Amino acid sequence: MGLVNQLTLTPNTQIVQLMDPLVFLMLAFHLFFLGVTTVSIGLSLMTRKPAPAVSQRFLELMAPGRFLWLVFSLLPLAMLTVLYGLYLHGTENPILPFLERIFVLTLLGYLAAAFHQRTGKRFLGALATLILLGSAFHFMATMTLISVPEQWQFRAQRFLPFTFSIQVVVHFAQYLLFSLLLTGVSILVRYFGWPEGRLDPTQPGTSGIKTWGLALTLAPALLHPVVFLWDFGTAHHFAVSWKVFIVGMVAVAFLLPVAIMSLSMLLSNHLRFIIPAAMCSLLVFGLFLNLEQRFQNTANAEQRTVMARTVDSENTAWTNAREAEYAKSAKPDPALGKKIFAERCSACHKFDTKLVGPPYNDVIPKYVDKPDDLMEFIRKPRKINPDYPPMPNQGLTELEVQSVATYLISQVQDNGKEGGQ
Amino acid sequence: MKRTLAYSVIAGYFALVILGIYVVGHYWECNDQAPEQPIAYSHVRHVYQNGLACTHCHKFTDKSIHAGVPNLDVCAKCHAGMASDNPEIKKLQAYIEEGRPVVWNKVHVLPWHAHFSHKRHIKAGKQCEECHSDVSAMPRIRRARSFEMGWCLSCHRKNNAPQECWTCHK
Repeated sequence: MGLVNQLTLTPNTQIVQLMDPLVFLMLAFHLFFLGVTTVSIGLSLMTRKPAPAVSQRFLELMAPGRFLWLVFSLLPLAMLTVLYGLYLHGTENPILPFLERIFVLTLLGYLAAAFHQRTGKRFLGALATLILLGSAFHFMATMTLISVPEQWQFRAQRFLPFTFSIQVVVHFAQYLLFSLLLTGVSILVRYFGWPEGRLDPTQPGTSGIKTWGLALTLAPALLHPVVFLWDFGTAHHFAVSWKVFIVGMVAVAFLLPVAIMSLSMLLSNHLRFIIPAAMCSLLVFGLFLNLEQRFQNTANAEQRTVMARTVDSENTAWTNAREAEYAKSAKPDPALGKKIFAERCSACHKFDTKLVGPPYNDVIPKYVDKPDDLMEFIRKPRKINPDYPPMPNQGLTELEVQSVATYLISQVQDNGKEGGQ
Repeated sequence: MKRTLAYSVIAGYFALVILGIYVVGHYWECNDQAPEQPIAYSHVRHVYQNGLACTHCHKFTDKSIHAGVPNLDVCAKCHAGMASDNPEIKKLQAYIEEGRPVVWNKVHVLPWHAHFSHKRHIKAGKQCEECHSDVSAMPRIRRARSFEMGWCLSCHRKNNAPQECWTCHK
């Protein structure tokens, strides 16, 4: 937690604008690599005895022994931890510690997978599959938890988000189906669509690999629509907006060509639609991630507004500090003060009568010898008289504050002289 | 022929699911969690920009089971002359002049069998935003928490508050 806090910058305008696309990209890399690696190791273990050649191809699909996961999965996961640190800036939430522990779990899973590929030991493969599945479950549980801010305070004491709520189960089912679908299209693209990696049809096991690839594409494409519907049926009302239903319908519509094309390739024994099927699958995966982000953003709409305000106020503080430097050499301008009075103050104040606020002739005289106190009040208004509502902060610049304070004091002094005469 | 039938069945199944998502979306929209109000009152304007405390308008939070919606005198106190060109304030002034109450659409609806007291919770030190989220960031008030029994019980357990059925179900 401390480490992430040190790495986490205070949000600024650029980071806030970049956050959504960055989270999307990191989620896409991490979940794609994690899902395909887990399924391919599992498939490799399943086919090891009956078809060793096929098993070896599956293990080579993501090649955990080459440590590509460091760049394509663990780095995005670390980035996600930092990005969610910014996203949830200023809230008390257990998300960051969970993500840090999931990072360690995922690292152990990938290490086991790497040693499995290098040594060929079966128990390491089984261990890697289990750990990676566990880390994916907790990751999806954490993603779900971000969409349910009311539960944060009750999960703070837990080591990991052990939870079997219906939403977590649905999200994990979606993750598993996407893992199968993306593994299926990866097998087809890697071994049958990619010119440099294309398998020789006469090699042993080629037909088996093709059947696995097509089956892994078809089955999730057929099952996924029901799970999408289930997801919408169980989502919390405060995390839903009408846009998610549109995105959901588009996602299901793009799964249809995947199902039809993979069935066609399976029945007709051709591979013409590999690239279109892969493109549609990636598009649906992107829409799923977009949905997840929309759930999170809707559930945390207020937090995002507050974060934008923090950014604004910090920018304003910086601008004001610059202006304060400038104002030291600038003189208060009574004409500017009069203009501000007419545009802002006169909505609630008059000099001689009570309006929403008190009459100036009653309250300004006490500042005649203490103009700094009046300026401080204008900068940071507070409730003084219980008979009146508190004055809103007008957001004036330093020069404007000095000008309006000078104008008000001079007017009250003039009014006093006229009254005395 | 068989293949065409298989494709048609798959297409029909996908169409049914898309229809199902539309129906769920329609049901969700019919149970809008941020209903339109007779006057577009903004908590952002009043709470965030003007710094009003919740109790400035909801005066009974620590005195009654209901937080209370302010009567129009409270609005009139400031809006007799302020922002009178705003069309929403004109609506408000019409209500005041005609002596009609504003019939706000209720956002935080609890089932009839659940008894909730604002007073007990405020006296126990609970903050408004724990149940209502940060209303100062809501241009239109919305229900930002589930208000389900499991959620209430989680909080009661955490704070060692009464968990007997009759605490809430009178």
